[in-house]
Amino acid sequence: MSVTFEHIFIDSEVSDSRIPDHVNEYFPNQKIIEVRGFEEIKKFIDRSDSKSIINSGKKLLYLNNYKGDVIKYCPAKSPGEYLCCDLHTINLMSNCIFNCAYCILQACLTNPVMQVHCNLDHIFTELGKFDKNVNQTIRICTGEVADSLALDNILHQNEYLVSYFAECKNLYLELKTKSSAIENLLKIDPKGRTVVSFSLNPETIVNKIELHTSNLGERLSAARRLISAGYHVAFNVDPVLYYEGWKQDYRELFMTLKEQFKPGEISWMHLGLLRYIPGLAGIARQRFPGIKIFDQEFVQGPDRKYRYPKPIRDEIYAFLYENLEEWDLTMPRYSCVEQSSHWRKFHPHIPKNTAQVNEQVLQRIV
Amino acid sequence: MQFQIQKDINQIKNSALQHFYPWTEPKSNYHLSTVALIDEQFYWLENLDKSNKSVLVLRTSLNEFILHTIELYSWGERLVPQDLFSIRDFIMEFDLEWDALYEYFGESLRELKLKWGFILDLPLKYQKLILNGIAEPGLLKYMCSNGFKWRDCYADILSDFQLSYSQQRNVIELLGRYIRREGFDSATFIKKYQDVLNSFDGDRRKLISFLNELCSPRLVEYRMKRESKIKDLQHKLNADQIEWDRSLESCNIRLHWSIKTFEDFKALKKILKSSEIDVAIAEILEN
Repeated sequence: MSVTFEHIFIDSEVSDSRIPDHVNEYFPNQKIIEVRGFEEIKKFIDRSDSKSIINSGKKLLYLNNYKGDVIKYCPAKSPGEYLCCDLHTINLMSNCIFNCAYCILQACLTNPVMQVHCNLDHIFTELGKFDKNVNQTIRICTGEVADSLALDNILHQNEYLVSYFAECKNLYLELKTKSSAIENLLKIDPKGRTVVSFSLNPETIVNKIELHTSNLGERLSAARRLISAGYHVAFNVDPVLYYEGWKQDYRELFMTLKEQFKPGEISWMHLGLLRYIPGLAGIARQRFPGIKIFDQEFVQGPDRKYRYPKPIRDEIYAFLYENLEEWDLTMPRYSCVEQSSHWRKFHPHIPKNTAQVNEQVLQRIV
Repeated sequence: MQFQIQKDINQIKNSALQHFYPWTEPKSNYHLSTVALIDEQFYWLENLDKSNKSVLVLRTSLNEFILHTIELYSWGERLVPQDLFSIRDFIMEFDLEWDALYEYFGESLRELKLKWGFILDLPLKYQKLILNGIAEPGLLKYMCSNGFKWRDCYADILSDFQLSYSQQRNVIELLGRYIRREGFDSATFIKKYQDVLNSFDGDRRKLISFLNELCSPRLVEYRMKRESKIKDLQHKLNADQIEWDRSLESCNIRLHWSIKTFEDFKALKKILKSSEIDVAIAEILEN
């Protein structure tokens, strides 16, 4: 996918020139407009309706500094009995150029521009303090409010990140992506400290509702090249969708994985079924007319998110785990924000807390 | 001036001015809580209820008032269909034209009205459903554009059955997904279900039970099975057919608990969450 921006802005507070230089190099003929804060960008946003606002945000690139706490706990965490995977995040970007119909960012990003944070030194200083103070192994991910690799050909952020994490004591970097833009990663030796986790879905889903992303074949081919280059690779089959013909499609996906990757090659598998916050379905229906994925049976959980009812969830998980075990019996696996009864039913070892989930996830790496 | 404010207090309270702020903004965030029109001038007042302490914070003309309000709340950025109601009421009270408001809000208001203006023509009780956040305009639009006479089979359900807000929201979610899934039109739905709905004679429990079975059959089936397991567990507990002592002894506690509903069971689980007994009970239920 060729990426273009209608406007590129740089905040006057940015002093670290590494990322702006890369942007300049990629778009040599495009003027970079200097602004003093987000207020000056507002007039460039098309606010005709929510659809325009979201689309407009993908066309405006805003280089600025990150303010606030650098390391955060994964925002997907839900309170109560839900057990999550103990992921930590740093936000180097906010917003995504891809257009996935189920994407939660549609409902929760308030600033409709593609923000890229350039103050890498500050971010690395904070990571350094965190690395020193923690006494357990931590996964830190950059792909919660953006795709970790989607803009890497332009920004080159991951060259700096992978090199930094290569020297960390307790921290592992996880790059979550639906992109196959891995050329920059291949230049760096991750020293076993970076996991690239590809989000996967059957080809038919990718083509219909994961618009502008790399196709399934491209993602798997990128995964293979990264393994050869010394990276750990994991897969996120998330969100799994329930529709007529889902079994056949997901069966084919697992058959493809089995054909292409030997047992032991993939670091972990994360499975997650479609779940969404109130409000998302309405926005997605506006942006993707005729979309059907939100029309199934759903039940609202204590965390207010809608999920498929338990018998449907159990049916799907049973099918997926059966396929996973056929391929790689001992592959570490986890499910995003499911209750303890789910873990009892579908996982060989029941973790007592999120830290134990993290240990299980990382067992092939650490 | 204070006298004037107190004299006109009811008029002020009932004015469209009190609702002239973004629908997405909670009323509590509306820190300039009251606006008064006095001698053709607008005043923001603080805390109308404590009239002796009222403070006039801004005095302005109608034009300035609209501009200031729009800017103050970045209203143009967060216009939603529901805002059409407050803007419409404002226009009516001050005898304005929509064109004038388009100038203040920009083209986004014109487009919003073009697309969602139909909600202003709905009967009042249905407008209230939208305004109170019970019914989504998008769902109604979908139903209308599919030839679905929503007020015959949807909003009437909400108003005629006197459901609570949370029940109304559930019904909307449930029924909305169902009609989309099935691709019904109004004739089909009414032909199939109007008699059934009428037969409930306003009984909420019957309605909700019917809609659950119609729209979410897998969930209903699962819940029935679960209830049956709980009853079975309760029966065994009463008949002393479960060897509780073994697991209880290991935790050094005695159990006196009456499990009649699933809520009882969940409460029990919560209390015993940290012990192995939780696992034992869950296994009994699941097996």
